[in-house]
Amino acid sequence: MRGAQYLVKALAAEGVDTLFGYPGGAMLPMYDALLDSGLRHVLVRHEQAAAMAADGYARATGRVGVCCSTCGPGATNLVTGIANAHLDSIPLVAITGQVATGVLGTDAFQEVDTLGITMPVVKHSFQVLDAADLPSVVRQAFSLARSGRPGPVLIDLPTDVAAAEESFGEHTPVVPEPTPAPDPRQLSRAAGFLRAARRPVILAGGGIVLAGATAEFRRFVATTSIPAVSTLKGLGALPGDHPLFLGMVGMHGLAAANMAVHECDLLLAVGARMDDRVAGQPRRFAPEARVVHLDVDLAEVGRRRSVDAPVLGDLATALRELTVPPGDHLPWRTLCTDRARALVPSADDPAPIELLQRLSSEAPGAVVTTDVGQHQMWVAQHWCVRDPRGHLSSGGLGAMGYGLPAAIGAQFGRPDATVIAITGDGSMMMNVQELATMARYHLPLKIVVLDNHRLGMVRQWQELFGNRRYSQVDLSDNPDFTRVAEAFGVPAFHWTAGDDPSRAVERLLEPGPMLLHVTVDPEANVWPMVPPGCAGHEMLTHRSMRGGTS
Amino acid sequence: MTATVHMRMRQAPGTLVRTLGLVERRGFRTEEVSAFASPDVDYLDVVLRVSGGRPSWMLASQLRKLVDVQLLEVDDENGGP
Repeated sequence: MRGAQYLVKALAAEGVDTLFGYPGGAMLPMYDALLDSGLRHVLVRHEQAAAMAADGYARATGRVGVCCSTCGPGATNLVTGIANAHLDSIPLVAITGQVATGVLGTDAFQEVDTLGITMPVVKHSFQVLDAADLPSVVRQAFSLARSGRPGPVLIDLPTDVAAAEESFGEHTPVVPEPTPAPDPRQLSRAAGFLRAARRPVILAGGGIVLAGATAEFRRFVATTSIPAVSTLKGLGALPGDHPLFLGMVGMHGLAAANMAVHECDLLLAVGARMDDRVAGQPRRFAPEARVVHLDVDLAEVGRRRSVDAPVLGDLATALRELTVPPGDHLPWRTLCTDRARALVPSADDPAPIELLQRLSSEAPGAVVTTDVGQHQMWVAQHWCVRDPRGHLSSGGLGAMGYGLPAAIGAQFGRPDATVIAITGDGSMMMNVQELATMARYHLPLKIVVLDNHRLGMVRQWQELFGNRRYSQVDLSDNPDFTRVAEAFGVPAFHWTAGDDPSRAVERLLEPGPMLLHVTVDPEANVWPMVPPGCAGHEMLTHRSMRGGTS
Repeated sequence: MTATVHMRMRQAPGTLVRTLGLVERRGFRTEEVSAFASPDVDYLDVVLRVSGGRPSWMLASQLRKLVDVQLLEVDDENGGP
C-alpha cells in the first residue's frame, strides 16, 4: 500500500469524514488516494479558506478539523488559518505536500520550509521522511490536536514518501488519556476564597467549550448564583439571555460587565487567558479582586494578571468538585444584573443593530460566524448566543476573511443548522472567492454584509486616537455585493435604514442561500470602548464622546 | 533574570530550531547553547543559558509544552522559582 493510501485510511479511522483542501503537484498521491477513500473532500478556492473552513468545522462540531494543500504557495496560504487555530486553541490537522526527500533543501520547484514557517503557530509538527513512520505520526497528530489544550498540528509529507510502497497494518487511533484532575488542595484553596467573597464575578473563557465543560459550568453558575461575564470566545458558555449573564468584557465589552469586573472582590476565571483585549493593563484589571484561575494550561496562569489561587487540570472536573454553597451576595448580584438591564450600548447607527437583534431572535438556534472589525463587536454585544458552539469568531488572531470559510466548514459539520455569516465589506473581500465553494456545494448559508464603505474599526481608532487623520480606510469603491453574489450564483438583496427589517429577516431566513447587503453609516463607531491602557470602567461611550459621562 | 535550562529532547526534524525559536519568541535571549546527540541518536541533550526581563518559570512553562521535551530543569541564577 502507498503511503498516501494509508494516510487516507488512517484519517477515516481517526473519525474524519470531511477535509478541506486544494490539490497540487506534490499532493498528487494523496489526491489520487482520496478518490477511493470514501472521505468527502471539499474543494475551496484558496488554501487559507481550507484551513479556516476546517477550523469552523472543528468549532461547530467539537471534532478535529482537517485541511490539506500542496507545498510552497499552497502551504504558505494555509498559514493564516493555522495561526488562527493556534491562537484560539482549535483542534486542527493540516497536511501539506512537500517536494521529494531527494531534493529537500535544494530550492526545488515550490519548495519552502513549511515546518520552519509554521513552527511558531502550531502545537506540534511532523515531517515524514519514511513512510513507515506514518502510523505513529497520524496517531500522535490527532492525539495532540485534541488533547489538553487543543491546537493545530502539521504533517508535512514529501511526495515520494506519499508514493512509497510500504506494508501497513490497520490504523489504530490513540485511546485518549483523560486530562488530569485538579489537585484537591488547589480546589480547597479556591473554594475558600469563593466562600469569603462578597462581590464575586465569573469570567467565562473559550476553554469551557473546548474542554466540553459547558454543562458543568452552567450547573456551577446555577448553584452559586454568581454573576458572569465572558470573553469573546466564551460567548455561549452561558446562554446570552441567562439572568446572571452580564455580557462580554473587555475593550468593547458591555458597561455592566466591565464595571462588575472592576468592582469585584473575587474573579473566577474559567478557561480564560485574560489577554490584552480582555484585561487591558493587567494591574488595573479587577484591581480589588483575588483571582482564582481554572485552566488546563500552566503557561497561562499568572502570565498577565497575577493569580491568587490557580486550579490546574480538567475544567469539567474542577467545576464539579469546586463545591461552593450559594453565596451571600444578593445586593451585589442585584446591582450587577440591574446594571446589565439598564446600561444598553448606544449606537451611532441604530437601524443595522436592530436588524441584527431581530435576526438573532428569529434564528435562535443558528450558528453565527463573524469576520473581524466593528461588525464582529456588534455581534458580540447584540447577538444572543445560546449554543456553546454557536458563535464562531477569530478571537486571538483577529483574521479578517474568517467568516465565510468558517461558515462553510460549520455548515458541512452541522448540515441541519442555520448558519449565518456576518461580515463587513472589508472582510468580505478577503475571501470573497469562497462564494464559489458555497455555490458549488449548494450550501444554504446566509451572509449579512454590514457595509460602511470603510475599514471601520481602523477608521474608529484613527478618529479617536489619531486626530481624525484617516489613512487608507476608504472602501467607497467597493463592488456591488449583491451583483457579486449573483455572479457566483448566490441570490442577494439590499437593505437600508427605512426598509422593513421584519421582511428582510424573513427573506434572509427562507430556505436556501442568500446574501443580505446592509448599508451602515461610515461614521458609526462601536460603543462602549475602553481606550488602550485604561481600566475597564474607563469606557468611552456615545454620550461621553459628546461631553457626557459613561 | 539569568537561568540555565537543561533539557533532554526527543531527536526529530526541527527539534533544536523549535526550542531556540520558542526562547526568542517568548522574549528571552539565548546567551549560550550546547547540544549533544546521545549515542543512540534518539535523544538530544540541550543546555541553554538564557536571560530576560521575564521570570524563568514563564519560559519553563512554555518549554514544557514542547512535545519533544522529555526532561527539563531550570537553574535560576537569581534564585527564582
